[in-house]
Amino acid sequence: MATGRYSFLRVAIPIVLIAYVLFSGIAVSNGISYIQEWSIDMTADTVEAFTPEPGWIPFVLKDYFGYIQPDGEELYKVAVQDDVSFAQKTYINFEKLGNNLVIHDAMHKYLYPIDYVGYPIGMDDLYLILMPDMTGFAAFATSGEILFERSFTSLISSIDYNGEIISVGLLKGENCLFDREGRNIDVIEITGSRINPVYGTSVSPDGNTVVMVHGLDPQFTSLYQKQGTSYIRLKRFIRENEMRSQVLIDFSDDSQLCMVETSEGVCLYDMSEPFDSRTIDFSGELIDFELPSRGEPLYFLCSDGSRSFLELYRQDGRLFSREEMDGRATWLFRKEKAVYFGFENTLVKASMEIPGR
Amino acid sequence: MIIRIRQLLMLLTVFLLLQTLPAFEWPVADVGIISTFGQDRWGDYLKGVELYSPDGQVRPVEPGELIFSAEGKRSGPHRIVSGLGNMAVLQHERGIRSVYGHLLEPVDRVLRIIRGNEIFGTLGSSGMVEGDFLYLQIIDSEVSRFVNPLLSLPSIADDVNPSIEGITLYRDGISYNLRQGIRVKQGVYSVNLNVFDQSTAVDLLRTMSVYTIKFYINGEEKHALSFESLMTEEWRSVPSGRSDLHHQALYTDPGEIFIGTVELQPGAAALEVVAGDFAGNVTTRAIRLQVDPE
Repeated sequence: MATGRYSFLRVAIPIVLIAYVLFSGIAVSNGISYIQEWSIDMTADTVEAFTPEPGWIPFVLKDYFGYIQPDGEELYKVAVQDDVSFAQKTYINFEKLGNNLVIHDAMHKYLYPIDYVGYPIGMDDLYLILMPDMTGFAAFATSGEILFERSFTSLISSIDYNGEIISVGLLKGENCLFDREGRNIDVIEITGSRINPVYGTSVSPDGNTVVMVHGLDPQFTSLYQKQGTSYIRLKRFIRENEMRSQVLIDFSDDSQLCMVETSEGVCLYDMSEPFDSRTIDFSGELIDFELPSRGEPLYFLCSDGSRSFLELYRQDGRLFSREEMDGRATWLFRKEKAVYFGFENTLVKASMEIPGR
Repeated sequence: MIIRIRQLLMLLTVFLLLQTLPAFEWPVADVGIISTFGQDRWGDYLKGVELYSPDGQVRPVEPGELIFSAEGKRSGPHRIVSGLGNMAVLQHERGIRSVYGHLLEPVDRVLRIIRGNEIFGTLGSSGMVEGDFLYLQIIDSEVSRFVNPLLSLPSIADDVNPSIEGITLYRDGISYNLRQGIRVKQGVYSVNLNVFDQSTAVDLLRTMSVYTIKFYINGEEKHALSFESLMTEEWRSVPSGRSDLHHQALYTDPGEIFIGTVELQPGAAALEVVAGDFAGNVTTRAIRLQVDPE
């Protein structure tokens, strides 16, 4: 009788244990924990170096930017003018008027003036400088020489570079792809909506996929795949809530995962058939993110104005860790198992602790 | 007499253009034009106009739908920062879009349809500008051109004629500032003009681009330039009808524009430059010169 009364436990206990392992977070499921290593208030006196060295970590805060030793002992710190943009081992600290641009190679103490007006976007080994009216851009090497200029009869809404291909999203309903020498690879014309602006564009690190967000009534996320020299639409998903400003899109380092910003958070797409997707909603606006390769946690830095959040997710969309800070987040950088992030004028290093390693 | 006929023809042309484009309302009250379409700005043509208003409240040029907005401050390293600062793009009928830049605050993203007289912003100094201005751009997306906004906005008082300060011929690195009776050798010359208009904002003495330029030799039109619209040729902006004149080709030297080349034959020659602004004010400068055999 007693055996019969409790026999359901034989089934229930394993189910509860399995559910606990699956749904209680990575901290339990794989033993990973998140540990803050150091935190530095940059408004206070800091030990500064005159020359940063290779291996130091670039950082951007509200009023300062620079490079810091991974152990936080020494740093190279500069006051932000109006904004700052980083590319490979160089930076441009620029003013509101976007003139007098100079590429700084702080490690070698080289300066490369740029004869162009605009706000720079540092990407890999290039600076893409948008024309002030957003109708064109110029590409500059990090050593300062101009590579090419391109103008459009449209505003640029978004731009991306994967190290070989520059993808330019235009409000007139086109996505133009250029190689590093400025040769036009393809022009993807957008149709299917009442109005067809492109709001976001990104090209995968392997160059095989372009993902775009475009259109109003309806708004789509579209995946284009390289076939020969052009890109052919592979999939199209309707977005529930339209965005009418730049939509952030990015790929994981291995091109296997794509993140598309939504009005509530992000949508993650698996880039292999059948292109599964899952949404992640978080508090506030997406400021920065890191998308490592398949199997690694995803890092999102977001802010609702007065508070900021560093959130780590598993790739199945489940929250792994959430750190809350007072003030506005500025920037996020991941290197191996460490993550560096900023909020207001405070810089933090945290690391992934994996037992047994 | 000939000049008056030209003036009438130009006014007629402007009138016909106004008939084919939509009639907009000024987006700000008591408007002054600070910078005009086609002038040298940011290393390219200015593809809109910059407006000043003591009132500062911004309305749409006609009812429209907010299809895009951007902010003047970067909210994260992956965002595009707009040189137009806080800006908005409205979609109108007939494929026309209007762009409003340098607004004081970001546009409310909840906005969708903006009615004709609805205030949706205040002019400001966000983006790459000093002083409080409104940047207004009109795009005809059906023909893929930036259109001079003044073509479809109500006229405003402007009785100041454009200035033609100089006509210069260049050949083999030598410049000839033209004056009456000057002698030059026969040959092919580049023609540069120092020509500009004045801002209609009386408090702000700023030079602006003229609307039209025509260049004649012995009564024959050799070159013409009109800033009705700008298009893109081989990924560069050019005035419609002058695909040879990308920005660097036109704005060669500070204060000068290149209008084209001329071949001067021996004998007497009459050069004439006619510059017009958008209000229909026209300035003409004629120079007689003697061309000697090489």
